[in-house]
Amino acid sequence: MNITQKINDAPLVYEVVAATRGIQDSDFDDSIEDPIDAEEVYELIRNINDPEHPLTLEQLHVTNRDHIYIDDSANRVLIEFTPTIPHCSMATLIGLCIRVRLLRSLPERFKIDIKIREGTHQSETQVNKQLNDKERVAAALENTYLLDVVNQCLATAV
Amino acid sequence: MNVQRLVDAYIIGLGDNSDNSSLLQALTESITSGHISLLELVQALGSYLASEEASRRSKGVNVLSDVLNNLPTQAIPSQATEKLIEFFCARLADATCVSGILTSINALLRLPSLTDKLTVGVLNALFRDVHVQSFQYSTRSTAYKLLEIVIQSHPEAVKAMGDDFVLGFAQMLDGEKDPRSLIVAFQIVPKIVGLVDVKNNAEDLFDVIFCYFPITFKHRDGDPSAISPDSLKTALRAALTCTPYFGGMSVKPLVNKTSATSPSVKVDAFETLTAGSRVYSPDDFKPELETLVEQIREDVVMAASEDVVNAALDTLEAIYGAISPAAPSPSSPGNRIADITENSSPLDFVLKEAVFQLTADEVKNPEQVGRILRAAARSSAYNCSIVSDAVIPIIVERLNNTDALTVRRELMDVLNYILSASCDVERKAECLDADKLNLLNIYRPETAVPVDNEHSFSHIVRLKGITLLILLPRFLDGNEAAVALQTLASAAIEHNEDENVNKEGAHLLVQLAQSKPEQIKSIVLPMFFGALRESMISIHKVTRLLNTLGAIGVATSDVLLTLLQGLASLVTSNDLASGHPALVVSTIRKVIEAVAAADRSTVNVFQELLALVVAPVSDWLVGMASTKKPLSDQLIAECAKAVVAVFSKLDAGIQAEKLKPLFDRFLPAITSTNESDLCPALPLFSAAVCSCWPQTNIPVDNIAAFVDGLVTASLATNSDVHRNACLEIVASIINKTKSSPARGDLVKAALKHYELADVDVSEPVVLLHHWVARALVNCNDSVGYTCISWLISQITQSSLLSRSAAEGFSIVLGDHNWAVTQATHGVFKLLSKQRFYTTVLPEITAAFNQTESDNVKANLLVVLTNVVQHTPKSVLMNGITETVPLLLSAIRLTDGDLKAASIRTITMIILETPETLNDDIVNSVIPLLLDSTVAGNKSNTVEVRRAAHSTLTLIPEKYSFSLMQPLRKNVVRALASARDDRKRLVRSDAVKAYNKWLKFGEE
Repeated sequence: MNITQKINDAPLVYEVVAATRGIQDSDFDDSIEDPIDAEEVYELIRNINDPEHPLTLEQLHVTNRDHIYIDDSANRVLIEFTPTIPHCSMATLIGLCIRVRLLRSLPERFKIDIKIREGTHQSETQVNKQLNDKERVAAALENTYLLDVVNQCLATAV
Repeated sequence: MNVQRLVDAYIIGLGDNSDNSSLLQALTESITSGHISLLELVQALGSYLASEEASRRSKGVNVLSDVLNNLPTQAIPSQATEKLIEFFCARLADATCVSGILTSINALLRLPSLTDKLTVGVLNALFRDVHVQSFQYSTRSTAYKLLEIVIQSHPEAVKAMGDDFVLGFAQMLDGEKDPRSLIVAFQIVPKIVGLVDVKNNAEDLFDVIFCYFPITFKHRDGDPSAISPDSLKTALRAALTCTPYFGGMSVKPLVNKTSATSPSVKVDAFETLTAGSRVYSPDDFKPELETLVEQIREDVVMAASEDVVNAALDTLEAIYGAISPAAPSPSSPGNRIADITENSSPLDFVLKEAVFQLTADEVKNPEQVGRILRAAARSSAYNCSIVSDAVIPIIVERLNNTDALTVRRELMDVLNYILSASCDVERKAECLDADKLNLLNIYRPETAVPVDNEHSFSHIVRLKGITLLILLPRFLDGNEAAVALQTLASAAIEHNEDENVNKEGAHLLVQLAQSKPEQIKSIVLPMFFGALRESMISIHKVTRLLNTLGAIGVATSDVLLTLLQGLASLVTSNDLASGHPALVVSTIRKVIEAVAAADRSTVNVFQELLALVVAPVSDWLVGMASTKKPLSDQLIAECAKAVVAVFSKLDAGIQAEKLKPLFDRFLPAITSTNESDLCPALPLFSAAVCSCWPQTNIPVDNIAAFVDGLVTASLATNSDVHRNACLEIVASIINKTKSSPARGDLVKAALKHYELADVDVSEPVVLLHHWVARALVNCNDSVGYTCISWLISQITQSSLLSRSAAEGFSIVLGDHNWAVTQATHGVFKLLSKQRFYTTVLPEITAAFNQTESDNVKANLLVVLTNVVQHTPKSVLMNGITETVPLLLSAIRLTDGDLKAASIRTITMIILETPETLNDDIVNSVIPLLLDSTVAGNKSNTVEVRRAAHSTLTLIPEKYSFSLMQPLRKNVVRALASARDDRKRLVRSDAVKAYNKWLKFGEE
């Protein structure tokens, strides 16, 4: 993979909206259970770095709070992301980064689905298939070079 | 003494590079004391100075220069000076000796006997015979030093040389590359210009300097010369702008440089032009003005960097200021701005483009257009009139005919910039009066506007405009200003969908408070007070209004008293909804504290504040208490803090005077053993007494009897408020008693009830010991430690009071609002905390090791955690090793806050001295921490789990992988399940810890 030549030279950079949820008294009350919600999942992935630019997925509007669908009781989460351009070859890598981040952050009981937002990429189906194929993801993560790239993207997310 | 021998030895030393200081000292001492003369020295050096061999000559000269540099001025006779100077001048052509000769000449130039004629001779020889640039840096530096000395001590010689000096200097500098020399040379240029008229040689001098522009220089780390890129730039700029003669030559190339691609070069060029505008003739700028304005516009619109934009706008303002500083006088046609006619004003370059933009369908870059117009208008009052006359009517007309909200907002934005320029030059343009009605209409707020971002933006722009209209000199009359202020105040007060409108309104009012305090007092404050009185007002709005009022009060001292008085009367009028008086009193207290911290107020202010603000509120509270009306603890506490803020700033004499009526009122209540009506208000009395200086006279006949009475009351009363007030005063008085016997007597008086055994050990007795210990430990009195030992013995005896004895250690060490604190003039001796730590910690450790009871252990750990919590980190780290086992037990045995505090102490140890825990980390600390992350366990509160996760996150950073490797798998597994905690905050910390441990060892 050649990442010295950029696929999208000048992406649009959006302003970052501060986290809306502050700390409340109820956060320290053990009797109240806080279910995992879209906001919390968004907090986990908003600061992942783009593989091409020193910008976060949030700044590029690749990830969006409203495109996270989660059902805590059914243990399912679906993330839809939007590549900056329809022919973006980094889409698979971005999806892989999101998946790895969630694997390392969400409780193990969750089934994670990652998809490209409908109509935003020319090879949407292939990429979606690739991202949600357990074995292909596992194989990709055995490639040390690829794992390094993923780790670099995730360095800012913690 | 044989001079020749000394000289020979010196020369040999020079050849061997050995230390010649003793020989040099011997020579200078002999000459100073008159044993040998300078002539004898020169004769002794004769064979060297006249030698055919260059190196021998050079060594001879070096000996002479060393001696001359070290001789005191009176040791060199005036006739010798002349001869020596002549000798040196003649030798300047000898390249090998130049360095030594220049050093010698520098030494001689310091002498008062040196005439200007001789100096001229030296300079001529230097310029004629020495090609400075062919020498190494040290010699060049000596040559520049020579010029500096001449300019400083023989200015007449420089004046006499005139053009020759300028030319000589220009030749000398030509080709210089070393920044150390350049900075000296650049600094010399303005000095030369101050002495000599450089008109004839301006071009030569300019060429030699300007070739360095724009100067860039990278300071390397470890470079001993203290030259920074900025100092070099500033020196060059000062040299380029030191004379108007450079103007004609420099403006054009400088303007060309402003189109450079590098932002730093742009800024440098703009700043040099700005500096030049103060010196060069306005005529120098006129031919380049159009290009320059075009370039500035481009830079402002592109806005590549804020530095460039600011520099460009400053240049625009400075140059227009220089070109037309005042209105053209019709009586003097020869005036330099006489060529400004209706058709060709220099401002046209700015105005034409602006007018074009403003009349276009869509105003492009309104902010940039506004900023450029403001910069041009700010340059002078006259320019401000021209800009205003040209632009304002256009904007006003367009605003009257346009309904598109965005365009209106953009136009108003531009208008605001121009009005702000008028405010800055303090002159109002003629056209403003003509358009007054229109302007007032433009800024009149729209009623019933739909709520969206665009509307609130334009509302904010409008508010800014209204503020500018108020600030414009002699524009609005009294009534109009009042209406304008009311509009601003309502924007700040009324509920807006967009909070930014409220914020902007409040911000503008705070700004106006400084220039229009009277109007703020008469118009704005009553509106705020009225709003606060409303019955259905929300707590959010009250907080917002009070914050604005607080900011206004802190911004200007003129409004302060009226504002606080108004707030006080709001509280005392009983008009406020329940809960709100506490917020108002809290605002009063915060404003007083801010004023006290700003340190601009005198004791008088605090006296006034006490009489007009704090006293009425306190009286009202006392009145409420005596009529048995319910009072919230928060209200009483805030009021007491306000009393502290004011009372602690008064002089001791005034404090004593003010205490008298307080004692008359409260003494019977506080010393009574029964609960009186005034009981809820007693914290106010305690706050006042505790805020006194140590030297303030307490208005009682016998202090010991007073303390005795307070202790008796505290032991007898059932009210916590009463007891606390009594004990706070007792502690404060004991702490502030300077003489130790007197203090001892007071302590005896306080503790005698217990010691006489007329009372059983009860909770109040334990509390009394805590307070006495607080008073004594802080002033380093050893009796305090007797109290501490007594308290520890109570804990180890495992009585019913053990728990309160342990928990009360927060009273001994913790913060308090007024009793024995530094703000209330409590006596705090140096190292008292250290002494406490080193004395008490071993006692706790010993007691802990001796006891078998878990209950006692838990209580001792409560004490330990309190000690650790309130001891400065630097003190804590000494002897922390002994504490570690106790802390680990604390994690095992305690729960809730104390457990969390113990874990945090462990975190602190890991951060500061990780090696202390090397033995325990694997076997004890990590397993304990992992246990603390389990959510099901009741003792693991949210705080405990979070603290455990943050400590676990820290461990991979501080310990080696080899040490942690055996545990890693278990930790990762435990943290993986902790990610499913029921609380969100814990989950977030667990994720951080998990990822840290997952990557541990991978790098």
